[in-house]
Amino acid sequence: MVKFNTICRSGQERSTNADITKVYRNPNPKVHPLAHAREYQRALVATKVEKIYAQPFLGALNGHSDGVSCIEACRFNLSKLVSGSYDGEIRIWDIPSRRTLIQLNAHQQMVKGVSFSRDGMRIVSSGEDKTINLYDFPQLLEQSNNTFQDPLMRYLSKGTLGNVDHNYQLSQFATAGQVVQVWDYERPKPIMKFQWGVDSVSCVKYSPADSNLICGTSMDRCVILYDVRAESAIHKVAMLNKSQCLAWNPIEPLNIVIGNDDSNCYTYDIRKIELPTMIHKDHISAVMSVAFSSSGREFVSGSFDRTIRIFPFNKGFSREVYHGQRMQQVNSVSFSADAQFVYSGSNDMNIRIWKVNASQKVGIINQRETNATNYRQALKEKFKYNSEIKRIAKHRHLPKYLMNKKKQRQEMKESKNRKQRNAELNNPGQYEAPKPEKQQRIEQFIQ
Amino acid sequence: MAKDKILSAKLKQQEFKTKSTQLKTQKIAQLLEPQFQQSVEIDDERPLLKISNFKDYLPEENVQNIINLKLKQGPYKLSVTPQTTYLAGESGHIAAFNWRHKQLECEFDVKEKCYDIVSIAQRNFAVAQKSCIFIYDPKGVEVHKIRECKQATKLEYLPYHFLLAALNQNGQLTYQDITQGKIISTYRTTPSPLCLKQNHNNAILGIGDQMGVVRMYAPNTGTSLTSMLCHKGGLMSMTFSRDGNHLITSGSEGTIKVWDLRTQKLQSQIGVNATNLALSDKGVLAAGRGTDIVMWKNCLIGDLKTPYLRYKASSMICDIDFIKHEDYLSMSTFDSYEQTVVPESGEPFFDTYEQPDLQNKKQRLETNVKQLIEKLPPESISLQSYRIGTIDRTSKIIIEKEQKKQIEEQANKKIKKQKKKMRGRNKIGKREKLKELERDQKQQVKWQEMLSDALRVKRAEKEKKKIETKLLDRLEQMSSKEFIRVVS
Repeated sequence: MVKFNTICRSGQERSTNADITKVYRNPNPKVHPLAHAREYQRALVATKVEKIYAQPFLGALNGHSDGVSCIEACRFNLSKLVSGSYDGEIRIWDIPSRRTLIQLNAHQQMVKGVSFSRDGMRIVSSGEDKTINLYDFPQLLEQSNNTFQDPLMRYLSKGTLGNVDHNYQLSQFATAGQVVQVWDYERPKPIMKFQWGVDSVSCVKYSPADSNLICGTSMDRCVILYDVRAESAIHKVAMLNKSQCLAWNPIEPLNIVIGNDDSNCYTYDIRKIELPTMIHKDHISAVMSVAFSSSGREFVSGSFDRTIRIFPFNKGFSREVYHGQRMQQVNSVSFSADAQFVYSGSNDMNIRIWKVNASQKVGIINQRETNATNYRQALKEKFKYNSEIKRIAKHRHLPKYLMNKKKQRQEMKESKNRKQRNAELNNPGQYEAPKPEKQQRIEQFIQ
Repeated sequence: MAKDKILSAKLKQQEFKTKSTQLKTQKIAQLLEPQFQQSVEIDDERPLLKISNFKDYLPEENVQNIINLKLKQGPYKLSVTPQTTYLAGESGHIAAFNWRHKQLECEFDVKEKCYDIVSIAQRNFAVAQKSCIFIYDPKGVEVHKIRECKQATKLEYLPYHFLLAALNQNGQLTYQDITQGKIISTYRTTPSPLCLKQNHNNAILGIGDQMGVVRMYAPNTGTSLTSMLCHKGGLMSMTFSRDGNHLITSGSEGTIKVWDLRTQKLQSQIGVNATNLALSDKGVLAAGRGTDIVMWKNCLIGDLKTPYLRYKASSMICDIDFIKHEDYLSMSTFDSYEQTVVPESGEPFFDTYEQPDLQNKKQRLETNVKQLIEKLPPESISLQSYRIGTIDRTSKIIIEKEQKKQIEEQANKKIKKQKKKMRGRNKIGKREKLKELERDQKQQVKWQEMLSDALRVKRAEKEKKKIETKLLDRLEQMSSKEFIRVVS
């Protein structure tokens, strides 16, 4: 008995045109010649194609008649955004249609802060005219034509006000200002006041995990942590420059990111606030606003140098830069609740919508496309240390003023390093090594 | 150090994942896929030697693909794909037909001597004719005329680089990029080439000549990468294995040798004369001489003692080739084209993305575009193709040297271009004078360098002599004293 096999391929064609053609795979490397070279070529093409399709700017919401000072995206409804401007006007936008839903003349002077409540029913806004307005969102939508709607409640503050942040759980909110005040809906006066020193606090934020913790940045270059239950501050750390803004990491609520006037962002662990855990350096001018994505892996920072940068939470340099020819100083940034879009409000009276992943397609993506993009992503990950591919992936176009400033900074840094090295070499024994950079930024830690 | 640990851990994890998924998919593929194979049982105890022994037991589809076409015009050259065969007769008869569906695609007469034919991307084909190389459409329409390669007798096509390689009778090898029409490189190889074959794993060309030497070539380097002395006589023909690890050559002194390319040593040999060689996917070797073909199974693993099959063609064989992923052996002779069944010679499990000939129309259109996007640069062709994408382990010093050289070359190139200054006086004489000055300066620099080199050498020699004399003096002084010490 002699037994052997022969190949018959007659049953391969599909019976009707509506059937799916079957795809056969053989992972044996014998069938895939030149696999390494082809894979490398595919990775190279994938990075180039990513650059071609990188169009992050989606659109702008225009309507404000003065610079936008604060924005916040609603946490429970993806299409709503509230913004306040320098002339005391608050607008609530419907993002998909790019138009204003509600327009309110809320304050006499600049709107300092806006905040949605957790369930999106209430909006709180604080103004430079020492008043805090509390609005009922559904009621506003009913009477959307009336721009002089009365707020649900109006609170008057004794001292000047900074930004406002709504409590995640209770019907309370906290305002920054001359004194940090915690307000309740029912009481016309603040239920609690925190004061440490003479200087005012510019920005205040509730911790997403524990609504008894508040962190604030003050004008005397400090970052202060307050406890509502203990009715006092816990500790504070003084830095070399004053910080403008603050954001809590929603997934790791022990970490906060602050944006400083020396153009860096610092990540602190609130348990050990003496040293920053990470310094994020890429901006050229003061960082005006920071916001975390709901994934906790990235945060966006808008700065005075007219750019927004997206940083990974654990890396020192930015992943992405967004700039526009017409975009002026960015006053505030916000992530959308699904972490797909970034909103930036700037001095040129516009709110811009950007994509978080610049080359991602917006809209419904079918299964085959997601498979292809995942494959390309894996290829890029595999070859990301290759010099050619790294160079292409890292390249970002920057406007001229930024490039010049950046080069200047690099030169300054290099010369500083060179001088340190020379001093070390030429003065053996006498030279004191400079402190590590993280320590350099801290002045003192106070309990 | 912490960073390295994390990186190395990540890499290890990745390697483990890829290996395990490869194994799994292989197993699953072979279990779940419909069996493309049909098993045949024969009651005879005799080994299969002739196709007439088992023809009656074969499934109908295989029997239908046993072809014997009578042709008229001269010895034919052959190129086969899993769908079509291309034939070029020496007196100019060119034909392409689909052997699977038994349809003629095109047939025409060129009225010129044809030396070789090869199938190219997207079902086109190239014919090396006496005047120049022509590229034809699948329908037979002449698309391109390549004048640069003169009197090419052998053609090879590198599919992933889109390169057409043409070899002259004088040994001139030219690589041409088909997508752009540019000639990548031309150079002389050997004065008497006999055969040209491609290593599909590497995209490296092997050329065998009348001295019995096989040389490997790549488009970058003008000289051969390696050379192996294979036979005492001339190399009649050769083939590479699919995975690029073995080379099988046949010499005019009457031997077929199997070489291991990784060690470049002889693995096995047999004293059979063969003018044509062909190797299938699974390692079945077919050797043709005259009208006979002998086939051995497992020639790469085992020895070549007992033949597997024999076949007798109707006339003198010119060209033989196995069809990829099929069990057929096709041959072109003086006056016919024949196809026989060779069981268990083809790889039944194919990959759809690798074989555009086994795809349907829509899939083929997509792969056309994708292949062009993923076209490999010709600089990447080398003997060790697996090194692309791996870490370069050469020392930092060497890399820095190379980078410096590159920068210097670029700087030199820039200097050579002289701007034409049209403003003011535009005298040609002045420009010529400037050029002469530059030339003189360059020469001066050269002479200075040579002098300084010579001086350096002289100084080094002088120093050497000094050191030697010093040593000699010292030895004299020492030896007398020590001698006294030792003696006493």
